[in-house]
Amino acid sequence: MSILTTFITDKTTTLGVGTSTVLSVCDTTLNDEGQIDKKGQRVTTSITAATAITAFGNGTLNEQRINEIEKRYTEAYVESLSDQELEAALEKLNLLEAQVSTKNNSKSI
Amino acid sequence: MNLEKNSEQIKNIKKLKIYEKLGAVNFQKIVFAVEKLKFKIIKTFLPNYINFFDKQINKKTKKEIKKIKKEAEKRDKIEKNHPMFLKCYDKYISFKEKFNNKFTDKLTSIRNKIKAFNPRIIEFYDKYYKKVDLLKGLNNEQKVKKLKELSKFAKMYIREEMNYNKNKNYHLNKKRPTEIIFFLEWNKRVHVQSLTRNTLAIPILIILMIFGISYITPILILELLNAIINFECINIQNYNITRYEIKEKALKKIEERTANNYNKNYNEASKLIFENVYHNDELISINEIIEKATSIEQIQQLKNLLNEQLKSLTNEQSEFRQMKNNDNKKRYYKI
Repeated sequence: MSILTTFITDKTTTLGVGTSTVLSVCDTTLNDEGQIDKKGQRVTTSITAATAITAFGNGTLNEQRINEIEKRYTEAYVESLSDQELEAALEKLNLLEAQVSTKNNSKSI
Repeated sequence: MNLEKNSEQIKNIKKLKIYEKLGAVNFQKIVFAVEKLKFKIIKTFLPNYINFFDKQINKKTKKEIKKIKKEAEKRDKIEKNHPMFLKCYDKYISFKEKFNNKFTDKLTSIRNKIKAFNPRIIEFYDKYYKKVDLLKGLNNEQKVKKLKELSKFAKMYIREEMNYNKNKNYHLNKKRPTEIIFFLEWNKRVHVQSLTRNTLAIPILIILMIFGISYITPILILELLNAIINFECINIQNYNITRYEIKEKALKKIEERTANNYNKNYNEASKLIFENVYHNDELISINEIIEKATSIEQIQQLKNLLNEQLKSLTNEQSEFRQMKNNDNKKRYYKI
């Protein structure tokens, strides 16, 4: 019945472990056309990744739009990194920065 | 215009009071408690949850891509293996398209009639029931790319939720606060659909119970419980949507400020990450991205970006730990 399907299927948000909740959200997040406005009108509340595919394909982008799409990808990616991954990455970046600085210094000498 | 704004605010405040009376604040506490429990259980008993989730996403994506490719290759296969059936197949496809178009036209005319009678019915239907085809208007190659993109974002989102111990649809993102309205509306849509099913199921169950079918009673009780939960969830979403409407202007300003700051300070790092994430079918590791950095500016911006993220994550996690500790203290005092 209804309550069982609510717990088991991928539409559960409030109760139960919804493994596909994120995908469901992702499905509707990543589509400009699917976004719903509170007054039933369609608006774009945020730049979506799916637009990258169609937008780049159609070649109808301005620089602002490209920046927004890049930002959206970057934010989602960076927020998906765990604290251990971030710490390891920062260590690597420190080393790399030191190497590059040394190279530049030796070049200038 | 100021009068209009004020009357809008007064309306919203009145609505808030109604939602509060219907239990929005108290039920939201239960929702947050269940959310906390969910993350505790996952982190304690399902340490490989993310791997499991990734496998499910890959499976689902592969299945969808296979379907698209199968459709695309069907005609070629028939042409190669059974050329005498090719004309029949083409006729069948054209008949199917005509039938679909006629059906769509019929639906559109019914829709227009209902809209002329009462446009609010169509608005309500579009908002809460109309299915959205994510791949509409795309060719097969673009459909496959889009599915892979959705898969990547699903994996990024689940990792973000696990990092912050927060469902994306319950909490404001500090960098993109206006994003929440979309999640609130989506969540409400889910519960409206579920409540509709309850509304249809409950009378049927009552009738069956009256006819003396004994095992119906527990099912009816569960269904009623589900209906109450759905109603309260819708109430919470309405409450939060109204709160958002009151603060919308301020939230948009915050988002604009962070976006400008972002563009100023992380442009090069952003391009580097985007290029690598976008052009890979799978989620690339941060170490691989770092290896592809070519300038000192990229390295420094990436460092600052990751540092900022680590600080924000550490703060959130220490808040979560603080909440857990407070809960433990409460339990101790109860004993």
